[in-house]
Amino acid sequence: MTCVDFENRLQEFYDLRQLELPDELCTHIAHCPKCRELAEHFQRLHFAIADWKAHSPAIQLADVVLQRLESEHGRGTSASRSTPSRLNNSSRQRSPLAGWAALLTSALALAIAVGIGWRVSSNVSFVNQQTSSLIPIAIAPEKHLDPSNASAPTTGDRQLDVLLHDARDACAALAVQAWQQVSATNVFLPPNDTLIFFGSEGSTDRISDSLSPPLAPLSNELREAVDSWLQSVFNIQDSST
Amino acid sequence: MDVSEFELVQGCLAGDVACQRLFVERFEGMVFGLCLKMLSRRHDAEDVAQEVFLRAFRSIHRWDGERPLRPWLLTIAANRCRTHLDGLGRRPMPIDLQADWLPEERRGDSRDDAEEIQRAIATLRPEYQQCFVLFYQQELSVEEVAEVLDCPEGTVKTWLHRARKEMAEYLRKRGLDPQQPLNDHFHDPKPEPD
Repeated sequence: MTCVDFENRLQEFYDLRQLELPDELCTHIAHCPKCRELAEHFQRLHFAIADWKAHSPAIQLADVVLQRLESEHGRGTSASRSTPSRLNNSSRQRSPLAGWAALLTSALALAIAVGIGWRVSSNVSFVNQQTSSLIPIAIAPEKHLDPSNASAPTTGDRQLDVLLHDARDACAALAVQAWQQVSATNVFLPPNDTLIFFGSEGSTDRISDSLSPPLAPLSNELREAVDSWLQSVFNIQDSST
Repeated sequence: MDVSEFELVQGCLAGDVACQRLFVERFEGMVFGLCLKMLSRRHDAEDVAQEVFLRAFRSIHRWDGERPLRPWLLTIAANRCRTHLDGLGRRPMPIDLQADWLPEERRGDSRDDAEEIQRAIATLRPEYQQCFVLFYQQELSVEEVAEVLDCPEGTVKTWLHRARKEMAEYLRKRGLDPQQPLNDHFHDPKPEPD
């Protein structure tokens, strides 16, 4: 028998509350001083336990327990009320009206929450409408001039396209009218790509490329009108920066 | 009054004060003894023992009539003591336990075996304390302790072994060495037959 086996058997001996140590354990401790010392300490422990167990002070709890039990029943039994301090806490009592008060409070809170939610949702749609109308003002010109954005035009791009489309029509009408009024001697015919320049492609990112070919010489009235219109168009973009 | 446990419980469920009183009187020694041995302080033990009975009355409708009352009540008591000890674990441990559970003539005797055991119990982990007190003070078997604590028997044995070893070591450090040679059950081995 090893020392580990001895200790396990000794524990088992105490677990089963046996009265006499088995012979094999006695044989082991006769030759193993370490295990003998362990057995002696365990025996000492059990002498002390016997002394400790013999002391059981008397107690009378019935009166106190029944008083507390009656107190609980008087207030309505609740598992949450257990200690005397909690029992004496009258603020924890619930009156019959407490349930109705709680229900009304909940309904009021729900109504307020629904009202706030409705108001917030209204404000959100209002802001959305306003925002969409303000988008052209907030356009950054470099964004529209960036070729990488050409494949995915934004709302601002579409607004600017519409604006340029209208301007192109106005410019064409103005050019025809001026052409009919001015003298043929002072006028050179406009180049064929003049109207193309004014957004016939419908894309704003070609503006910078189209600025390089100069306008054909026209009459002073027509040139001033075109310059004024161009100025107004680019002023819009400049102001947005 | 010779009333069976089942009749006692039925009376308590019906709100019979006499049955409730009898219930407390029948088990107060057991419950208070367990609480006192686990908690060391009489005042704490009284509070917890009262709480045990109040909880027992609240949940007595859940008692299984085919099983004895004692382990059911001990389970409540052990759990309440464990909860109390867990609460104490968050506060500083008293340097010197007041042995107010001992008779006055024996208080203050640091060499008293019973007091040393109580001190040693206070040094154990709560699960070891539960196990030790249920086994030695309530004299439950390992199987019954496992049932009360709702854990495997092997776990109870392990806790019990560790508790014994730690307590024996505590007594050795406190200078309570064996004062007499192994006797009684520690006898000389029988001579082996040739």
